[in-house]
Amino acid sequence: MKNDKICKWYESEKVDEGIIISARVRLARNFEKYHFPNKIKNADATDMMEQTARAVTSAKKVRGSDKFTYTDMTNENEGKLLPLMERHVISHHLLKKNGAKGIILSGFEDKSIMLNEEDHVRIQSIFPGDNLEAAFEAANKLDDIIEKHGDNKYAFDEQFGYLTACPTNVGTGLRVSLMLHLPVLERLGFISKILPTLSKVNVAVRGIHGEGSDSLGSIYQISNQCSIGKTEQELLHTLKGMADWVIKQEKSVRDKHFSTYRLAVQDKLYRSYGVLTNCRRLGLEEGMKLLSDLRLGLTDGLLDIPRPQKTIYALMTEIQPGSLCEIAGRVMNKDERHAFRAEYVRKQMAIVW
Amino acid sequence: MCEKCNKFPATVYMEKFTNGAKSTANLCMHCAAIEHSEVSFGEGFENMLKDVLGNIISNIENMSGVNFILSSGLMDDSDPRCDACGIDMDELREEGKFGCVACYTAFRPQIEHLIQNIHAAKAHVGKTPTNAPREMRLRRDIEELRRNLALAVKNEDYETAAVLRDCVRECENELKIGAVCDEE
Repeated sequence: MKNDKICKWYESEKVDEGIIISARVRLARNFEKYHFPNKIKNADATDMMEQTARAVTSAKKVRGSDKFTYTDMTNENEGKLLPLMERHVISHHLLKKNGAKGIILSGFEDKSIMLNEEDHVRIQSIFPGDNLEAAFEAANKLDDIIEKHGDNKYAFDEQFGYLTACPTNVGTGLRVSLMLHLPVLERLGFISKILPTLSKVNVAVRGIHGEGSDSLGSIYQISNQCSIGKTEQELLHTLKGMADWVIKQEKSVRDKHFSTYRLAVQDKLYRSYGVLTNCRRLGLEEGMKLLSDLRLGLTDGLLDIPRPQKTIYALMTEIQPGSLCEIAGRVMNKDERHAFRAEYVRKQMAIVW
Repeated sequence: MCEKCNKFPATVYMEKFTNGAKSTANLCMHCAAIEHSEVSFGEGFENMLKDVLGNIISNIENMSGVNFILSSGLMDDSDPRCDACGIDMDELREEGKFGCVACYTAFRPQIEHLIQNIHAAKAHVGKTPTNAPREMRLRRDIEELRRNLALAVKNEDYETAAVLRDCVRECENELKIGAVCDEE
């Protein structure tokens, strides 16, 4: 399994270690001299994208061996972009958007810059595990590089901070989010009890693919809703505090649930393992649920099985429709996907001696 | 008129029960939202949150308030419009997005109101671009130093406080010198 190929961030074992899957940071930035993306002229957009790309790709090594590549996505079809969205490299908004758009991406796919999305520049950094600080550090460095390059000045107002197309991002332009795996809270119906609590303190909860998406595989993203009036460090700290609170809830229900129903839970998780290793057709929702069971069983020592060759989170990503077609190298309809997904998962679960 | 803020028309009639006693109020949507969120918090819960978060508890229930707040800034009969990109109040309400940097000047009062409501904040603190005007950076540095100074005093860390106080003075002097140079 370990070869010379560059690892993606989600292939790190840290994504499977605890309740937190990954830590993500996003900075929204615009340049003074162009209109915002909803009003920008096409020529300006192209100019803006190329200048920003040059800033990043020409910068002295951004530590390590990670290299950035720029791709103009303006005429790219959705089939090509969908896997990128499923891997959290681009947003749903960028996927659907018409007109000029582009992406600057690092080899590990842990750092990316969306160009001409809702704002001119959306710097993103996503790290396996709970290291929000490291993710912020990486995004902040990219921000410095873009800021110092050429004469494209950021739109910044002394009172309002970094100016963004949508007033919900103004100020720091920062959104910090943690991806959490909350199977037991979900199963016991407690998520709906936690949601209002979090939204009252300006912490948003979303499904796996952001706004409006379902919580496939019991995966939830929590993030800050306020972006102004607090420093970047305060925003990180606040979100961590709330995440700790949610994690405590999940742990406490797990403890209670497992101590009472250990055998029943184990039975269920082993059955899920059985399905994963034997199925011939597999839908997305079911696949995610089974992998979620597997993850729970492995992190909490309820399953004594050989680990799959890849991380469970990587499998969760790969069984999404777009990525699956990418792996197969062809466009598949729903039936074909179900069959291919089953085959792929079985192969990944197979024991390699 | 709203009985609480006296600024906007009262559109919500609110009944509140506190320890069995009933009180009523005619409020605007905004004040009603605040009132409502205060009512629905349990006290123990709120204390727990304050522990974790300080005082940033949201004033409005959700983002759908954005449009309401934007339009409530319109009560003074003015019809602001951004000359640079052509966005007016109607388009802004529909799209929920600004078109360019100049919008932030054209709609400044509305934005102030909006930010106060969705973020419960008045102004940005935190990162400033290094290529921002020197004076702006100095002013922001001073603000940050003052915040740290207040914190140091609160923690009775007087050595740090003394250093920070000197830094503030230094920056203030620099700002003054800069201002004199500009005048000449």
